[in-house]
Amino acid sequence: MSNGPAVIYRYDGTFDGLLTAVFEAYAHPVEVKAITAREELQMGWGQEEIFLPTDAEKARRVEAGILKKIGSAALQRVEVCFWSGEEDKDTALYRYLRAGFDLGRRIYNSLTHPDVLAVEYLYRNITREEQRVQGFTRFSEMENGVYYASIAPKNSLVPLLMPHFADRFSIQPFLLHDTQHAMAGVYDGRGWYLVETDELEVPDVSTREHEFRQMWRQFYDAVAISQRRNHKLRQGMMPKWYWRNMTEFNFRYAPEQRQQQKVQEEEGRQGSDSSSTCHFSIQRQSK
Amino acid sequence: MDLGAKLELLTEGAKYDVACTSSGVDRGGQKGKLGNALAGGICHSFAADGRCISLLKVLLSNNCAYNCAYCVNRRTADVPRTTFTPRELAELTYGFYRRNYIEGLFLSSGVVKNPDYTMEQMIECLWLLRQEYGFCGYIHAKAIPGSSRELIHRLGLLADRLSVNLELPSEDSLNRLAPDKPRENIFRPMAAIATGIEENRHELVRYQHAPRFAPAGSSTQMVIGATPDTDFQIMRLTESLYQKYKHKRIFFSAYIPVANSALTPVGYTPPLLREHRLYQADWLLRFYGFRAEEILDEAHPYLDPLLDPKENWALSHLDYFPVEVNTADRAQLLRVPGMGVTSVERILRARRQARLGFEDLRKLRVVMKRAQYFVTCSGKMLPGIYFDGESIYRNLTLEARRRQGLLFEPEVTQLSLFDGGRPLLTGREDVVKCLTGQL
Repeated sequence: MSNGPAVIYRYDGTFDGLLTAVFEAYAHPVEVKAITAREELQMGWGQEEIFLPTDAEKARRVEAGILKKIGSAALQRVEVCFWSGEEDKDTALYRYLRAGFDLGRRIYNSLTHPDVLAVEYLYRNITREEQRVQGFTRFSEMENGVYYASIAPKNSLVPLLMPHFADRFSIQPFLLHDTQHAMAGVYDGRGWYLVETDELEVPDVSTREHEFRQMWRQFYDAVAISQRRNHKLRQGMMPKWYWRNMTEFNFRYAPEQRQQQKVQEEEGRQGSDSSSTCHFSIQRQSK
Repeated sequence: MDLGAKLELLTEGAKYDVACTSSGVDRGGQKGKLGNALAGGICHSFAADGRCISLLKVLLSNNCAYNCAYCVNRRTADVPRTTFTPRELAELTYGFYRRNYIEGLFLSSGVVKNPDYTMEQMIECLWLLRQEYGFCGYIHAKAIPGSSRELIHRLGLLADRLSVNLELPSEDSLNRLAPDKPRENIFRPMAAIATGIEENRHELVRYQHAPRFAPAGSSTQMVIGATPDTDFQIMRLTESLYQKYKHKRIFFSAYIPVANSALTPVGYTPPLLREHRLYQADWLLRFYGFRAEEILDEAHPYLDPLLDPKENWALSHLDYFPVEVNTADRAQLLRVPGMGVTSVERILRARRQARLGFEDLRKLRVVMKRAQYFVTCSGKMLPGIYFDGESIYRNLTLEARRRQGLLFEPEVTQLSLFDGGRPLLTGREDVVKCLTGQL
């Protein structure tokens, strides 16, 4: 299909939207240069830009086609890589599916195929970060009993992390907030759902939270063996990007100091509304 | 003493224990209970020494009745003594776990009064966690040497992994440095754990709901560098431990001098590189199908500091190479330096689809820096590679020699105005001795 006019497909950023774009790419005699949901992607010369409204029926048909022609492992890979933070991930996934429809099940052993390699890279990158953030996430107990964690991963990990945390912390309602992608996962004690979070006001932490933070820092400092100090190794395993949200590197002051600091801030702000109630200004994400 | 100070002290006492893995058991969450476990384990943080923090690694007590020369908590050491109550520690573990600080608890202890009393305290703590708090996270418990079989059994039903530290690689060293721990006091619980796991496997076949005994298996560790044991002895011991006691892991811990120990030689530095090489050799035993005798022998009792054990083996078995990537079987490929278990798996899959060239190997994440000297693709070596032991050795060790400041002789001899300076360490032999502390 490389003899048709070159186009860029835009979609609304949902998974079904991406599959719709894949559907359209096969339905029309065009050469799809790129698929994207990003606003800022530059248009090249002689390329037409088309916005595609999401069509769930077309998406289901593509899904069924993948399952039949390539297999469930490919679909799973696409579902995971969909949350990648790489700029050109949509185009890469489209090319991967094209290769899949050409090769069928042989795609699983075509490890040196450039389009397969590209998605392999996305997959490795995202699962690796998922594993890291599973460990690096730090929850705090809020005064209303809800546990809150703020994360800033490079990939959009909340949908991938929620099943893990909901299984692990099934007895405590919690909120996993991705500040990087303005998205949060909410677990209410029974099930979880995703919300968009443009603005999120977080309540104060509970009183004993400070004690636990303090003790965790004491443990963290004590457990290192000074004769084996190796900052390079640590940074390789745990890049500084993640430190901003980790208890062991933050809140490094005693509660009294914190109180002082807070008072100063209050004075500086004068008159601003400092309600301590929790209002998560959130709406359910429409699918 | 407040809880934070206690925690600090009892962490100080436990941190020299190396094992901090939370792997080996998959357990989904249960309704109304806290926690689950993943077979791969999760690292929650990394300490300033670069080691993974996965478990809350603490002692129940550092009030030890024994006097092992290498240990921070030995009876004669001048450190403040303290003990967690079982409930304090259970509360702390639970609180840390809910905040996702940790994957679970790693519980060890100094010997309070006697081994059995200590074990009872540990069991009480774990029982509280599991039964009262409903904690389903990971627990690794250290069995106290010399404790009774019955207590070990109860501990194993509460913990995911059990371990007994071997402490030192040979009986002679043990007698000298840990006079209160006869070797049989270590091996008896180790054997009890191994049979416990074995029996449990049979029970589980018959009764699906039989309680699980140490489902994540057992491990042990030994201190390296405090005694004159050679790497060859250590590797042979490691191999036999894997066979006999079915350990999941064996850990090596470079000896770090503790305060006021008569043990520490002057100018001693912890043999971190040696520890690293031992781990590499350990991996060869577990995943690459090597035997200890292949890696080292009586004539070469120490691992080479400049080459990793696999490179070393390859260089002394050049007749085995080059290996043809497109036809060699799994075992053959695993012997090639620069190829790991994952990349070999990828090669086997990819070559069903197409013949592989050197560029493909790179895409499959084979480390060509090492592998290029030992493989052919469709019968040809990489252009420019000269298959000769001496030159391969020079190339493979180039970086290591530079890093250790051992590049004395320039590759091309130059005339020098300042000839005949101070004598330097030159031979490989000297470097080995330097590393193992004989110089």
